[in-house]
Amino acid sequence: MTTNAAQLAERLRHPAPRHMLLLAYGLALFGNLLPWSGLTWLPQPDFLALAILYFSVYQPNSVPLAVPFCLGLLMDVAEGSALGTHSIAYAGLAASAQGLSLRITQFGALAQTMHVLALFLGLRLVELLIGGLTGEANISVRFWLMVPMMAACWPLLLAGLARRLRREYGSGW
Amino acid sequence: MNEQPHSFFRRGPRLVVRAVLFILLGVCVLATDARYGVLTPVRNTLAMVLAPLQYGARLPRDAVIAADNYVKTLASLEADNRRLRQQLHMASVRSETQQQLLAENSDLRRLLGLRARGTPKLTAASIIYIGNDPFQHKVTIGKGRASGIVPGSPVIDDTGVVGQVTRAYTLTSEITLVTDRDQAVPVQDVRTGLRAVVFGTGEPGVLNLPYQAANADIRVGDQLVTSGVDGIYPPGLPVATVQSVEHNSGMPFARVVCRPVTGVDRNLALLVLSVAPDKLLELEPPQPATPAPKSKKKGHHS
Repeated sequence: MTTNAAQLAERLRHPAPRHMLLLAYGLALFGNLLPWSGLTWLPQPDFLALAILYFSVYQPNSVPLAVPFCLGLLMDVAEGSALGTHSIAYAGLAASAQGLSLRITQFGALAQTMHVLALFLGLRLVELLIGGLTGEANISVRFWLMVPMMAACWPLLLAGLARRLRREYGSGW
Repeated sequence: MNEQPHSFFRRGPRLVVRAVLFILLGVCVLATDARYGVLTPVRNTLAMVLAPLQYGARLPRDAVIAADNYVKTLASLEADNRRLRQQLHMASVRSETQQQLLAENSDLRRLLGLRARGTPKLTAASIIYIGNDPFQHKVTIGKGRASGIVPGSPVIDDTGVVGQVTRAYTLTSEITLVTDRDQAVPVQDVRTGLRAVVFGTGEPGVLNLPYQAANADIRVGDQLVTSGVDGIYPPGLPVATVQSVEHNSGMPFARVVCRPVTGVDRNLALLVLSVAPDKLLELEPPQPATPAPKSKKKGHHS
């Protein structure tokens, strides 16, 4: 039994409790709603996508796809975009992350970040596609800059949040 | 041994099936919302859920602004004071002139038989969220139906037109900025009186003035103000400044690019004008000279 398999078994035996997930998603949503536009050179971060990605990768069976779907609806209302835009993007992101979960967790932080980069790029492409269906696209560099920025958050997330989860919920995290 | 299988093995439908189902559901929601608008109650409910979070999310920014104001030096405050005093002086002079003009105008209007223009009710609100969607330029303000805001109301700041309320929820409302691709504002050139419609381009800080004849009298630097002919925007509010005019001999129209006078990056406080749409209509409907048209109409129908 490799350490990865042992960690997986440990994680399955001690999943993060529901209130922990709720808190994480709530905080991520709050982070998305903060007025980031004051820092005009920075793209608006998408913490909600990051949280969905993290729990889909590390807990692929405990979060049904309905959760990212509904969170997407909330973001659609906040952004004023057509209902369904973010829902499709988030549900797709969660499904891909759940499917790739076993693969991604095999790797170290750097290789994981590369996977996350690809997944965020996919998220952006889906948003671009849906936005393009409803009208012509007018995309700036900042739109794409969000992808490496959020991917860069992944190692930090692993170092910070994962360490805390490991301390509380066993060595699988 | 009769052990319950672990939840890991108790999966419902396959992941791919679930993913496809949710994406299909999303597409259905997207189509229903975009085409039929029957999901407005859902949207209103979700907006109610979001409102407390949105109100909470503005607190850190307000705290930063408050702290910044607090540590402002005396010198800058004195400079501000002097500038404001000067502005107040100018404004009072202007306001006296305006009072005179208003009185004169109302007299003239009465003479001409025009209906008095309704004075708009102003509702001050501050921006609580600036949209991140690259396909549309929208902001959310912290006042909604509860404060009497209705969809369609024009929104201004201290310099001019910012946009229009497109969705009003109970506690918040959504404003589409003039730079949004779908937004159009009827304007008038201050210098020449030329009427036109200015369109958003979807690019921040760029407006388009299409369908202007190649020989139209539009020059760089011209001020565009609302013309008021639409019955929504009151006339005379600054909208944009002409930034460039390109004449191409192969094209029947000139390419006129304008810069909006306002910007949400500059101002967080906005004013929503609430005027009953019928009050905004300046001209009375043409009065029929005789009651004859009624019978005439009947004749046409039969």
